[in-house]
Amino acid sequence: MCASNTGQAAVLRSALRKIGYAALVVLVVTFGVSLMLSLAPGSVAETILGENATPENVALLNKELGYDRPFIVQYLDWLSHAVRGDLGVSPITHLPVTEAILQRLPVTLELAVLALVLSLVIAVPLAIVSAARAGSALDRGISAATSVFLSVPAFVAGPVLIYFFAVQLRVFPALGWVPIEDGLGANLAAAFLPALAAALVEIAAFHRVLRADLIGTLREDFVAAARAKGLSPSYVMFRHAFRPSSFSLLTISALSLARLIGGTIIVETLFVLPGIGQLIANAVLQRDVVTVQGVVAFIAVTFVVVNMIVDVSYGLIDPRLRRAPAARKIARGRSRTVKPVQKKELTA
Amino acid sequence: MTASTALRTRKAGDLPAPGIQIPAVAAIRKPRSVLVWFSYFWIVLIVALAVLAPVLPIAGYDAVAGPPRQPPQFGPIDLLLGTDRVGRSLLSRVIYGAQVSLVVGTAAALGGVVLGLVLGLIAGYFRKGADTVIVFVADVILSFPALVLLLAISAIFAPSLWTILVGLAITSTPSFIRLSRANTMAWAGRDFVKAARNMGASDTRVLLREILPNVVPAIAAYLPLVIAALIVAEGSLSFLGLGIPPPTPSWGGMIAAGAADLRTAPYMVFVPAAVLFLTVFALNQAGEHLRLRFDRTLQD
Amino acid sequence: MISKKRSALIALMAAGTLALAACSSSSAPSEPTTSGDPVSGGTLRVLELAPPIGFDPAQVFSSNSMPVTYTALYGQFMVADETTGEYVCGLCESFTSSDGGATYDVVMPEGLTFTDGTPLDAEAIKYNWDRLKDPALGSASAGYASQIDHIDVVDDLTAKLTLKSPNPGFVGNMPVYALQWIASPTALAKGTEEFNKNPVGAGPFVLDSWTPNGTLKLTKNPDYYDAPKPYLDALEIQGVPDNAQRLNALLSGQADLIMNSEASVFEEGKSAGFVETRYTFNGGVGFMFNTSAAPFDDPRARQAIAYALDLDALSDAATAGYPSAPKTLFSKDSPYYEDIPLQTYDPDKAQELFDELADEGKPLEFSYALFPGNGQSVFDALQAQLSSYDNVTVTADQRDSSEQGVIGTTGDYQVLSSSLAFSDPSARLWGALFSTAGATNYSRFNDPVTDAALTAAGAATDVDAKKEQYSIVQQQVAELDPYILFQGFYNGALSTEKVKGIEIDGWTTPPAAELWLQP
Repeated sequence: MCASNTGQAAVLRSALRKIGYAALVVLVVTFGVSLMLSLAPGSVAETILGENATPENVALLNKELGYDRPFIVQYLDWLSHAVRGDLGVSPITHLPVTEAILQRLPVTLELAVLALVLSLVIAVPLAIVSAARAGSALDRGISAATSVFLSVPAFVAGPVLIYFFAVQLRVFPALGWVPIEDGLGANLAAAFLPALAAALVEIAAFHRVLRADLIGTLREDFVAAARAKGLSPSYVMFRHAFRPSSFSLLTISALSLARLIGGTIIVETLFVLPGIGQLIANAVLQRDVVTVQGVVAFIAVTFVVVNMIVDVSYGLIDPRLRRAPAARKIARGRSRTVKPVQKKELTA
Repeated sequence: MTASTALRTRKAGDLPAPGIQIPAVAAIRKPRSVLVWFSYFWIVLIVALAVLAPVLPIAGYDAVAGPPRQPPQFGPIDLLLGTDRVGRSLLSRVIYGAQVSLVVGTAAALGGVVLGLVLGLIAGYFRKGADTVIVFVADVILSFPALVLLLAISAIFAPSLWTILVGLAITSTPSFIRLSRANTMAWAGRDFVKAARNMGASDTRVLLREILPNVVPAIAAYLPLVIAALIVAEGSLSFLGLGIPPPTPSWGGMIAAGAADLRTAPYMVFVPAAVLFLTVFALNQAGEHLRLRFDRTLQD
Repeated sequence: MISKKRSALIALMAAGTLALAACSSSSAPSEPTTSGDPVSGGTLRVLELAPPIGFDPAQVFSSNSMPVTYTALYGQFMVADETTGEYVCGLCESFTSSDGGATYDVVMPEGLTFTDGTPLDAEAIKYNWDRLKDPALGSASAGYASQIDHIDVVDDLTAKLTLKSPNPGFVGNMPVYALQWIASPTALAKGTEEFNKNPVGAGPFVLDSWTPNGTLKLTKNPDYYDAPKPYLDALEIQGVPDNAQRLNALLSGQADLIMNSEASVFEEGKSAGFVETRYTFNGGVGFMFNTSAAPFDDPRARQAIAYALDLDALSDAATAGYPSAPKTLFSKDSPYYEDIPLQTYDPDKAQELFDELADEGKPLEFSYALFPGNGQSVFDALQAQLSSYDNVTVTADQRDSSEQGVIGTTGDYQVLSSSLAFSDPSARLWGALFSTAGATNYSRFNDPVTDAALTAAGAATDVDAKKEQYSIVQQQVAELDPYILFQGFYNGALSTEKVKGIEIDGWTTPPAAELWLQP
């Protein structure tokens, strides 16, 4: 009991440290973004004033809006509002940024979740088949197919999917969003193509990780023991091998979800979906720095928080991590399989 | 460690029953698969075309080469892949587009490599404070999706080759920091490094003479993968209208422009999309191949 | 665990596919029906050219891009006369000037109220139009509203406008700007943010719900002054900037009516069996030069470009195979039509002029202001055509979409695509070409001959006299090239057979109040 207490305390301590670290990352990220945007040519006042942007008017409005203060004061002011959920008001739409984000969050969230589910639905069976017949022609075929998906970014997949499924076959709508309260069927139909376009790249990652872990698990003694008992290969696969192997899959699923939340920009623009991605893309095109700042901060915080939760829960879920530093090494070794995937953040 | 390493320990057509394992010994050289061969061929082809573009017998990328909206056809070379709305040759535009994609992808990745390598070496070798700070910086950059970071940069600077290069280099740096840090740490503990240090070699000398030559191959092996990712990122930016300014062609921009005529002239999307796909695919395959051969952290 | 999740998902997806199948079968083309008397009821799904960023009139850029939304909320203050193209009173009783455009009297009918009960009277007019001038609101119509020096409320129903300088075309140009939309002062006073949650006008519809960049839902205003209009129970409007995507949605049965201004989309839509309603403006879309700054303050530079371009090919590229380059300033339907060609394609002459400019030490190098969206193919075609000449270079000058509304007034450009489209020449043509027209003369064109002809045309009373003056204007435009028109300018819609009452006349149409659905 005493031992488990110290174990818990260690976990708690490390969790707290991770939370503190995440908070620091968020702080630096928002500071960096604010600093970057303060370098942007033109000011919010100029955006608001448009053709009336005489130097006097600009100076006046800047003073009114508080943009004449030193940068650090502005940032602290922004931060103190941001922690209370106030990300400022867009000079273009006159809408509070927080409200705009919250309005659009359901769309992006649904897209991201749907994309995640789609890619898992496709990747998990493929990985099981691959692992069961590792090295076979089937396995190599599947691996080749998933690396094809890996090379189809959303802006390639999107128009192609629209062409075949919306223009030629007319089975899915070409654009637009149907809120869930207007009918689940119509909602899913509207979300399907964009989610699929965003999901393709993820499929390869999931397939690789789960396949590798399954093959690793299938090598372990307890699997051999189970098999020796005469259990059927499929029973062994699902009852013995799958659960321990789905561990890193869950981890990268969570990370992938966070990435998808930020990464639906392309599909939201292409399919005209009122999500966060479209919000930031439009804000950039209109040089609406207030909105850009708010949305980037929001996405960064989401990203960091999800990463942190994954990290902390990693320690809570995996009993090996609670024991000894030596065990941590194992987990670290495991988490390395995740590493190549992270580079794919670039493809989002 | 990864699936494919395990795979290489067995030949195709081995015992089908999973779980009857051959102990993981040093990887046997497996003949390169057709896909890998094709990938190297495609990369060489596309690089050659991009480099030779000015001397190839093709129209300029910004000149009218024929009637507008011609589908791909045999006949004049400029019409081989069809023409766009203006009558510019799609063949010429994908070849010149390759210049942009490859230059942007490669230059940004090299920028990322240099920066990442320096920081990663420092972090992995000296550890302590430097390590904490550098890892923290990498975490900060990684804390938002790359495209969001690139969009934020686009909000500030007008789109140009340089903005995009710098933006992409920044987004690729953290991956290289992590990679070179991990590799540095792996090598720093080796006996010959310790020996060099015991013989009184300075830190700089150890880093440059002993560690760097060993780390570089591992990092370089990742280059194709990162270049592929950066080509996709540049394409995404161009697709959103924030890429290289026209009339310079870029694959992403061509796909975006063609999307307007998707119903009547789908080849305007399919041609650049296919080229982009093949290039990214080839780079991924090649990268995967190189990575398995050279990254020590994957081989233990 | 996973497999359970999976089967649930497959079930969900199957449900989605079924629902879709149901949708697509209902979109089969309906039997053509003869249009009879308007029938009330139904919900119309409309796609417009752009999503609104808000409903505050100060936030509208072009009245043409969201006509259904705005006429639904605010009705039409002015309406175009079908035959002459002149604007006459819609919501107002009369809008006249007795002194050649120095002052105007706006008279409102008795008893009009906004949907919140606030009276739509002279005070409301004054409040709305004064408000547009407020620099802090950044309205794209501020320049036009600023032509009004001040507004006096004469009595409850009469407002008197005093202009800074006389403008005989003020009324005709008004509907292009946000002055067309009168919102409740009580609601506006709460601020833009509040107003956008609950916009209040005197139009035929009221807001039900709105997701920015998503769907806007409007329901019938039961107290609309012009009963039994509106005929529809509800409107569902979405703004989709991409022409092709809008047509895709119509083809796949996601919309009943789409707004459109692109020739190729009209043709494709018609061939797919949809109904076209199209209005062709006089003039068209073209390259607009900043004639007050180098290099295009030199008429030779503009002429060189005009000679250099094959406008049919350019138009073909811009509209994917349906060229529509206007040959004359007035369309053939106009009473002022005269066969004065606007442009002659003459590559040799163009090269001569380019060389001449280069010999003088100022080879023509210019930038084209490019906005995100559909304009890129125009630049591509311009650049591709000019690349075959020596001594001329064009580069893309990429701008934010937020600058689109103000670039003309600020004059911070060399050349860009803009419209010189008009229905009534005394208003918009005057505003675009008269040297002292101020903010609306985006190209800063200054030609005494044109000025004199425009003034004389405005003062003339019979069509022949006007025609004579306008032919001078046409000659001057053809000669001095402040604009090079490469594309017809349309306002139009494609719709299913069931949609009736689509009246498109110039700006800010079709009015939402007139639309109805054949059951």
